[in-house]
Amino acid sequence: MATRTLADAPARTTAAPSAITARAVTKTFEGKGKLVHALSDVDLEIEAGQFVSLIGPSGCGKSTLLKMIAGLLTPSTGTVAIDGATVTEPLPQIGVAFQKPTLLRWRNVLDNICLPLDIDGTRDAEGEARAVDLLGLMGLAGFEKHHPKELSGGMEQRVAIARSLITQPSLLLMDEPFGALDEFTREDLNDELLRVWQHEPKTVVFVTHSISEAVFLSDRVVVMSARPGRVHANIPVELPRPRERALRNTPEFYEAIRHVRAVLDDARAGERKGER
Amino acid sequence: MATQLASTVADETATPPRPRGGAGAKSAALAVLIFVAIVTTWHVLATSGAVSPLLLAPPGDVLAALGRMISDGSLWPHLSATVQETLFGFVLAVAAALVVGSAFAFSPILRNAVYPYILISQTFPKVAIAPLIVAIFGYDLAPKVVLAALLAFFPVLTNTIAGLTEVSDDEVNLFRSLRASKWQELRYLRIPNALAFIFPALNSAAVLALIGAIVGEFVASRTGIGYAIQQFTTTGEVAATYATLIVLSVFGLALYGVLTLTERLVRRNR
Repeated sequence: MATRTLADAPARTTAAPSAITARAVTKTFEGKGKLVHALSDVDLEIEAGQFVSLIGPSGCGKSTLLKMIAGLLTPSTGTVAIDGATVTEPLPQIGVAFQKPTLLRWRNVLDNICLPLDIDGTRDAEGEARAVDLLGLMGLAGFEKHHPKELSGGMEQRVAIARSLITQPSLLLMDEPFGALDEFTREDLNDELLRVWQHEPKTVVFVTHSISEAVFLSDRVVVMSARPGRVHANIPVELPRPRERALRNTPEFYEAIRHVRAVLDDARAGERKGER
Repeated sequence: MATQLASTVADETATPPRPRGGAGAKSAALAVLIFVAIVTTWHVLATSGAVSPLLLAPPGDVLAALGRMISDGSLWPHLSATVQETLFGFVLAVAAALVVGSAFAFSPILRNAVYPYILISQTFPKVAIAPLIVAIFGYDLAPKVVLAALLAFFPVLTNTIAGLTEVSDDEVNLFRSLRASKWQELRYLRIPNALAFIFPALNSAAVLALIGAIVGEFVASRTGIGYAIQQFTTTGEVAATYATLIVLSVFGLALYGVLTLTERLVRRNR
């Protein structure tokens, strides 16, 4: 077990959390001769330091929107800006976690976490110490020398999250990172993610299919509807922080889930009507 | 030998876990037992008259012939010729395959245009054009090197292309999000990824290069293991023929060993 964690490590200079603004964003893909409208006229405002989840049915464009914030896709029309600067390519202050852990199988855990530092050319003893700290925080102390094939899916995803945090990003973008995990592992990782987030304040945009996950983690749940993808509703989650496991058993938590589910059902009903 | 057309090998976990403790000792004992059984059967078959002495020499005679060839030095010119042909052919093939494979990996247009021709040339049995290659390149080292290289080229080429191009969208997106340059993507993603594909292909290529060299020697040559085998067979020196086959298999094993060692060194440092 780690005797040293981020909690008692000296304070580091972390960049202030980023704010995100999406204005009239549309995205049209060309597929098999016909145009697919993935996103239509999306406006979204995310204040610095907020934890915001994007939720919605398949095809609502939530991953597309996230990739645009990440600078991996460009909008067909409209703009996405981080801290006032229009995103045209991936910005240095972001960290990204994908649905698959996407670890390099020939690198051990420590080297995987340090990959962003290798690419920045800033890997040093301090960076590696931070990687070890992050690993401990994700519950994987002592696994530095292990290779991805020796890890379970949940452990791999923990490593991937540590990697996304190693550069101390002011904005963390997560694309269904726990979608492939079982319920118990998912809840563990939710707890760990919140712990890290409380320790290093940053803006988080989190794409998920799980209502309870979105409610547990977020300050605000953005409900999207499909065909074409658009923002259906913004639902603030007023549950107190810091949030611990016990919160999952409270009536307030269930009430919040029920509310989000109702709005989501409404969004999907609107879709079906739109299809007719 | 199966040339790997589209099937590519990229399994980091390909080596089975070494059996532990007692299991390892049992495997070793069994291996020795199998060796003894083969040699005994061989000896009985050769000395009992069950197989004609014109076809099979007893193990003792083969060992004696091998000892003679080593002590009188008659083995070395042959071995040296075959080793040179195989190694030159192998190196030539690997170098060419890495260059062409990289070019194809980075230019799909080029690959789509040229690949069909390479495929045709590979499905064609190159052994059949061995006499032609000898006619073109003469009777010395060159035609054997060319044949060895021709046979060894293809598996390395296909696996180089596969290793450099078969990276997932997620991996590419990860590197883009990290603002990696094209060179860094190559250095940290594509080349290490390709190594897992290329090394298994090198093992096939080494064996194929040896086959190419021997075939070339069969067609026309004044030296080499293949030439020696032909000579011994026509003059009825059965024991010497088998002795040269043993030399070939030892050479093949040595190649395999060197490649495995290289692979371990390279993978540790990627």
